[in-house]
Amino acid sequence: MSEIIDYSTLSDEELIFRFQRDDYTAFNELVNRYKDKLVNFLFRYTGDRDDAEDYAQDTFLKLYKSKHLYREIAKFSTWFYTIALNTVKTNIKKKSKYQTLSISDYDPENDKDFDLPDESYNPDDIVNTNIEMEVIQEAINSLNEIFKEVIILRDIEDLEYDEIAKITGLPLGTVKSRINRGREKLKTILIKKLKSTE
Amino acid sequence: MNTEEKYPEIREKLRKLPRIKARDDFLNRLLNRINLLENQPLTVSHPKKEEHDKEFHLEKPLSEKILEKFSRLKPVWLIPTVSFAVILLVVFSYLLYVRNTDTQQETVSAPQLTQETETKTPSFKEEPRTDKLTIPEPRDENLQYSEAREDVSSKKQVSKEPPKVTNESGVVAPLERKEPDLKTEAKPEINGKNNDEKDLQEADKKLKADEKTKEKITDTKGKVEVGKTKSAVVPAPPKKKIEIEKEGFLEEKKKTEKEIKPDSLKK
Repeated sequence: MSEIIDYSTLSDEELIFRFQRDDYTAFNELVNRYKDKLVNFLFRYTGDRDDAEDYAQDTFLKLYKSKHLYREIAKFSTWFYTIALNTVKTNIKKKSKYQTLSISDYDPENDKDFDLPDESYNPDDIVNTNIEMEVIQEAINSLNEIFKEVIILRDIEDLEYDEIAKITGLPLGTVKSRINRGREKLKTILIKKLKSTE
Repeated sequence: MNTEEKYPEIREKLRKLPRIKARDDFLNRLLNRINLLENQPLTVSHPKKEEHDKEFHLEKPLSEKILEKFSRLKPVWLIPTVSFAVILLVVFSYLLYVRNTDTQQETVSAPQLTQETETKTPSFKEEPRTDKLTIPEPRDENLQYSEAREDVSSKKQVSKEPPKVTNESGVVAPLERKEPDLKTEAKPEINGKNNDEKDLQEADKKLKADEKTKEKITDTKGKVEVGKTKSAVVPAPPKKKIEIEKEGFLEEKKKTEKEIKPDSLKK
């Protein structure tokens, strides 16, 4: 008699090991556990919902293809966030190149070629109409990448310093100082923005 | 902790940000993409083509396979390899040429040396033959030639020595050496016919005559044997003939000795 396994009780590492042995239910469980976290992280990083979902799917696809590469050296979450961060960085680079090309071909008479980012969320999402929230997101978007990634991982995803250091590949001291400097910059940006809205 | 204490209000604001959730169809879209990804390798995979060829006996012969492999060579690799091969060929051919010239020089220098030695040797030596049929001469004869030569030269020296003049008292007094009178001494050279030289020339002529007789003998024998093998060495003449020739030569030698000897020595 095969035992009925409650996958929700298994740890991330146990699930990935099961997935490595072609247990696709374990993969589904991992997707369910991390899809919201990942979309949120990627949304805060990119500032775009659709892009965040696309990059999240790319990340899960990478996990599916390279499941055998995971070793029990680090936590699964650390390894998974590293994949996600690399994916979003490469995609943003590609997109920025594409955008520079499209701007160069910009025709003011034909505005239909330009699609503005869709900032309308689903009704089941948390209402994001609060001006302060929008301003905070804009401030995060305007931050430099080196500060943005560490602040999101620390203050939004609530990861430990050593985990952030592993994900970004930076020394612990650098991570701490970057978080500090990032917050300082974010504060100045927010003050400016709130003043301008008032 | 210090970093959190520095800007706690910012941290709190960031933590309070609403959590964005994935859309409901997120999992379905993901599974669709996974299915597409799994189907792609089947359409793209090339290794199965070989298996297919094997199954349907579409394997090409070895010669065609080799040709295909060569045709697949990219020019990036082809150009350096060809150029290197050409350079190697040139170097190899040059080395061969140098080697050949060296061997030719060696072969040329060897006959030159022999010619030089021939010029140094006396005139009564055998002349080189054209028909390459040589008689292996007995070693004694050569010795005899050399002895005869030495004898003749010693006699020359004796004849060249100034004649001793006797005084009225009968005591032999050596003549004082006079300054060479070019006019008087040049005469015999101009004429080129001293008695000794004449004798030598006569002896040479006789020797040559003997050699000619030898050649005639060998030619008659050689003609018979040439039909079989041209390069074959003609056997040595019979011993009797050689002895006869030797006797003749010795007689001539005695005659020359008699003629060369000055009257004073005869006495």
